[in-house]
Amino acid sequence: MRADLEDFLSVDRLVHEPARLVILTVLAEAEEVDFRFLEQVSGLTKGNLSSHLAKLEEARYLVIKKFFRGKLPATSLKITRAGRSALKKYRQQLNHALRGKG
Amino acid sequence: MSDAVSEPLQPSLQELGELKNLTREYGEFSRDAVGLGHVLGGGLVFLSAEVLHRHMDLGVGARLLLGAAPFAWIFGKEWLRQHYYQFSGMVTQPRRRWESALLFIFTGALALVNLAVAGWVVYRLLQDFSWWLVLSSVVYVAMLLAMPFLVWRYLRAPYEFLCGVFLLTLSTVLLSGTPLALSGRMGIVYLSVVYLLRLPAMLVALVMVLVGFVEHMEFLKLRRKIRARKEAA
Repeated sequence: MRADLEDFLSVDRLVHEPARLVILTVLAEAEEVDFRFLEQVSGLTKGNLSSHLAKLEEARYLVIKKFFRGKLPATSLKITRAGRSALKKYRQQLNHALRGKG
Repeated sequence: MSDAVSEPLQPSLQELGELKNLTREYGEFSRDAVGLGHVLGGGLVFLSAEVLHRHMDLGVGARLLLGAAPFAWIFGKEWLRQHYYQFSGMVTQPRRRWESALLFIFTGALALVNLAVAGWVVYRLLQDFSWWLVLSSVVYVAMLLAMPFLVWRYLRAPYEFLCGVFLLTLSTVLLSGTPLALSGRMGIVYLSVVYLLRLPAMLVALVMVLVGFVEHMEFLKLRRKIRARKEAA
């Protein structure tokens, strides 16, 4: 098997999943992101988004913080160092595989 | 609708790039970009500088109004940031390292100058004690000491710093009746510094108004993009 293909097959499935890739891409561009913003730009439903966030939190790729802003509950999300490096590694593997294809 | 229906397809690189830009641009409005907040600040500096130039003998009402200008600006700016420009929830951006370093130096220098002036006011008060001067000096020293904290917390961009310090210094003089506390030569030096700050503050105010207007236009474009994504979903 070609090395680039092997590299591609070994990508982190947790990051490769489309919704989670979108979530990590958004979080990597900011220090902290409100759940509402992520919901609006990702196009995911609340339930779907929550389930993907729970998986990413379990893998310690992000931290979820729940708090009250005034009287309203709010949720903010922060990507961890592990999350950033997982996303970086995924991009590198994908780029490597795509370059090998040509 | 089941959750599976709303699951997106594998996003293209172009779409991921757009998402990155969208997040970065939106996050800018949590940090330095406050659009109309800058227009408001620039306008207040123009107004204050003009009033200071033309009418040094202001009445109590005008003094209070002008003295409240920096606080009204800070409140308005923060309200716009939290409730208008971050309409889809907060997205915070980390501060650039050089900006933090610059702000640290500026605020440190401001704190040192203010401490020196506050020390001078207390020294003068001890030499020439009167109850009227005590009242005026307490307000004055309290505002001087609060200034670096206000600047550090709310006026973090370099042009905000200059305009903010100008407005706050003016406010300190107007609200405490400081020319009495800093009478004589020191008072003249102090007011000369305020006058010297007037021209650069007006130039920076002009830049702030223009920058704020451009930022606001960019925000309207960004809001349309975010709403379009929401509707498309």
